[in-house]
Amino acid sequence: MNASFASLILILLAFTASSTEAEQYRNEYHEKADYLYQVAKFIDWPELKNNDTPLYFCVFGKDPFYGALNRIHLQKVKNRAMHISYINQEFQIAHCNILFVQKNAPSDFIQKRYPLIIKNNILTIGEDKDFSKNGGIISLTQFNQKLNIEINLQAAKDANIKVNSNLIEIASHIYQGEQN
Amino acid sequence: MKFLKAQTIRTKLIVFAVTISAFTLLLTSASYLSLELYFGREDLTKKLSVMGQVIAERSTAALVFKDKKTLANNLAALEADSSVEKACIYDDDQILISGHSMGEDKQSCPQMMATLVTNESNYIEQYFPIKLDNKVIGTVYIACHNKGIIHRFFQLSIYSSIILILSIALALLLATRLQKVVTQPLRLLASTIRNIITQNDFTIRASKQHNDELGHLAEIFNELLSKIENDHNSLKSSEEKFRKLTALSPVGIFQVSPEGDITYVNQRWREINQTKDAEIRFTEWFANLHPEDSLPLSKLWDRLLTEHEDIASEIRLINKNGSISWVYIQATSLHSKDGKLIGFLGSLSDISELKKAQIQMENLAFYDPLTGLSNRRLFKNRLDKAVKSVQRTDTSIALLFLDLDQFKRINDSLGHDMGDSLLKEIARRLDHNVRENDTVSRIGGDEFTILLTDINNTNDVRIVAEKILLSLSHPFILNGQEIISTASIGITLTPDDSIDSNTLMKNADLAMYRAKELGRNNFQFFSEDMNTTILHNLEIEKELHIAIKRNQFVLMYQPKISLIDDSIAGVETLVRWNHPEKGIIPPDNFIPIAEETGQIIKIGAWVLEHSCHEMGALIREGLMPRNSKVAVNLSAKQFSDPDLLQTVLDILVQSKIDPLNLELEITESIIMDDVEAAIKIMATIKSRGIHLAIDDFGTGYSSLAYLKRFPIDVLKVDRSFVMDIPSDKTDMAITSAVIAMAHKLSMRVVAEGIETQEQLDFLRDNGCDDGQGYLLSRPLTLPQLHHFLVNHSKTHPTK
Repeated sequence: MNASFASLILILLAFTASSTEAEQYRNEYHEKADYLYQVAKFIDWPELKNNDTPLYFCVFGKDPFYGALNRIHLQKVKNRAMHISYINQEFQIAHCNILFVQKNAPSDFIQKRYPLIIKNNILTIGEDKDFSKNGGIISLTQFNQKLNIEINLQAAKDANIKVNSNLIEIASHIYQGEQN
Repeated sequence: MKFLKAQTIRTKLIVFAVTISAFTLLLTSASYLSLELYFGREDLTKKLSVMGQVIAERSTAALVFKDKKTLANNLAALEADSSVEKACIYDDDQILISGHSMGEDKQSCPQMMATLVTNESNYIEQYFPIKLDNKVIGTVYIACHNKGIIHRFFQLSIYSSIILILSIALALLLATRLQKVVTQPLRLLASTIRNIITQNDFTIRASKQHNDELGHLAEIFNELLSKIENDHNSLKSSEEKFRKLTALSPVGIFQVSPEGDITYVNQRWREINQTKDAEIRFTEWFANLHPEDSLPLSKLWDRLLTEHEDIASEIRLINKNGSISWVYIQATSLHSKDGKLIGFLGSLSDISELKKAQIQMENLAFYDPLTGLSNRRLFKNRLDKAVKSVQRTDTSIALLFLDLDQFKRINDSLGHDMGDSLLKEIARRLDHNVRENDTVSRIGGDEFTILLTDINNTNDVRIVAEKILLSLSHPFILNGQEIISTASIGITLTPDDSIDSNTLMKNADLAMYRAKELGRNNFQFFSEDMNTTILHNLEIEKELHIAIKRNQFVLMYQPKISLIDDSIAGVETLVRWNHPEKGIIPPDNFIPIAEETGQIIKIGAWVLEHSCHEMGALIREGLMPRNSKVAVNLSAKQFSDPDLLQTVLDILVQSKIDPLNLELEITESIIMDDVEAAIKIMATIKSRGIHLAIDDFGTGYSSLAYLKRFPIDVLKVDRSFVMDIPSDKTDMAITSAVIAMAHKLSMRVVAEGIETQEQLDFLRDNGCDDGQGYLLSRPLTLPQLHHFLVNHSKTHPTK
């Protein structure tokens, strides 16, 4: 009985724990989604013929945000509505404006698709701390509750994307040229 | 302002200069400072605005991604500007994200933006929105203190004040120096004027120091001085002239002030008034006047004072010794150009001598200087008065007109001195024989009048007249010579004869003439018949006037025959008046009247002209011998007519006869009226070759002494002598003596009035040259004369 009671309490505790943990997790994604949306505001893509063209925010693979990205779906960025699209096929990358790369993606994910990405002027944002180091343009990591931004300006340049200096200023690390 | 007005120009100029410069500088400084303050704030605001915008711009990413470090760095950059006091960044929830405090008070940013406390007076603060993609994501707040501006403002203020004080000091210094440019010439001008006044020297001139308005003022002032100097000089010279004139003036001159004080008198005035001191009131001077004159003069003086009526009066001054001098005073008021009374000017002339002369003149005017009797004028006055008084009192007066008999003869023969002595003595006797009230006057040469007043009857007058004649009948002994002089008296009475003084005079005159006619040395009372004669004469005079105009005269010619050879010696023309009603009037009836009225001149000229004309014709016709003469009678008036000679000469020329053919006959009495004058007239006539005959010789009083001097060619023996031949042996003796005497004096002798053969024979026997009379021929008309001459030439053919 004690054991079962104890295990019940543990389960309950665990449950309770898991429910608060889940909530905390969800908030974290909400916040992350907001940050992603905000990052888009500091980016200038090459001029489009039609300014009404939506800004496609592609998430490759499984949705790591558990639907949190929906809160930024159709939000406007410089008059362009942001469309969240979940893709899992390689060819789908080409029509993205922003490509979010999950934490568990292979480190050479960007390298393998680099020509495709720069050709389509795609802003790559990753969650891995070496994402920028590995050819991604912006990496967004959180450390001790503090958001950490790293930017690979070479990659941005290659993709013909301009990053606002204000964003560059707050970046904790900037990668420039062929140093890595 | 009152204070300023009382100050000198010097002070005023300084005050003006300092005030103006201070005011200008103050205004400039104030403007500058306020501008400085304004622009300081403006600059700060702009600077703040720029800084805020930059911060806001730079802080977008940092805010979005909550990069406090960057935000803090951004804000820390503001420390470069010392004026920034505080800077804060709030997110879109107005919660403080980053804050930065500088300055001294280190006030930190409040957590909530709403609690930011603003302090406008010391700070300039602004809010800047942080925008991202057109959305406000936060706010930057920056506050700057304006200490810098205030500090700078105070610094500038102090600087300005120092400049201001220095400027005022400089302005004061310059104004003090520069005012001399203006005041120095003015002071010089003023001192020049003062010199002119104190030295009274108008030749001083102001010096011109600059070529500006003040120099111009000095020039104008000098011009004014020249004008004043000229005026002053001319005034001085005219005053000098006035002084000299008055000093030399024979007239006393005095000036009286409007208040009545004598302010000036000249030397002559002092002499007239016999005083040295004249500083009295004019009215006080009146005390020196005769009491009868001082009141009228003070009345005149009042009129001069009140009505400015000039004074001109004769007054008497009482001298210190009590004697009186007559002075003539004249005074007039003096007025300035604008009509203001400035005094009185007068003159005083001593007219004592004049007065004396005037009295003498009056004596001369009313008294006969020879006899001391009243003269004609005074007599006339007294007569007029007496006549008037008679009319009032119903009394009677008598007027006696006395004329000396033959006085002229006495005068001529004994001389004027004797005549005058006689007149004096006669005057004395006349005066002696009348009462005191009666007036004896000498009204002409030998004419006296006696005015008897208060007459009761004619007998009274008769007695007086008889007394006078008696007193005059006593011989006068003058210079040891015994002279007998008688008088004829005419008497007229008021109111019986007339009550008019002129008529009375005429009446008395007429009566006197009647007395003369009646043999002299008697008196006659006027009677109306005397007047009748006068009226008759007046009528004749009137008719004569017409006769002259209408040529009513005719000439008769009585031939003169040579007693030696019976030839025609000439004719005497005789005038007759052919009166249209009264017929032929003989000359005796009108010639005396024409003589008295002067009409004789015209009648005489007519006679002369016609006589000469006819004579010329007769001679040219050969009826009269070439040497025969026409004899024309001259009356007394004609003889004394100054135009006589010219009239005669003109007639001779017109009638074309020789002067030798004309003989002018003059009566003895005409010559005897004024012998010397007559001799002169006769001489001039004679010098022209005209013959002169003396008519009626022996009837007058001519003496042989005179006869010798007369330039006479012919002597006519009066008919009264011829008439008595042969009955009166005396007359015959006289006649023969006269003929002999005339021949001795180389005169021809003509006898007139020959009526008998005895007379003719006697005259021829006694050598009388020519004869005239009824025996030879009565007076003839012209045709009769023609006839006579023709006959005569037949009976007496010329050889």
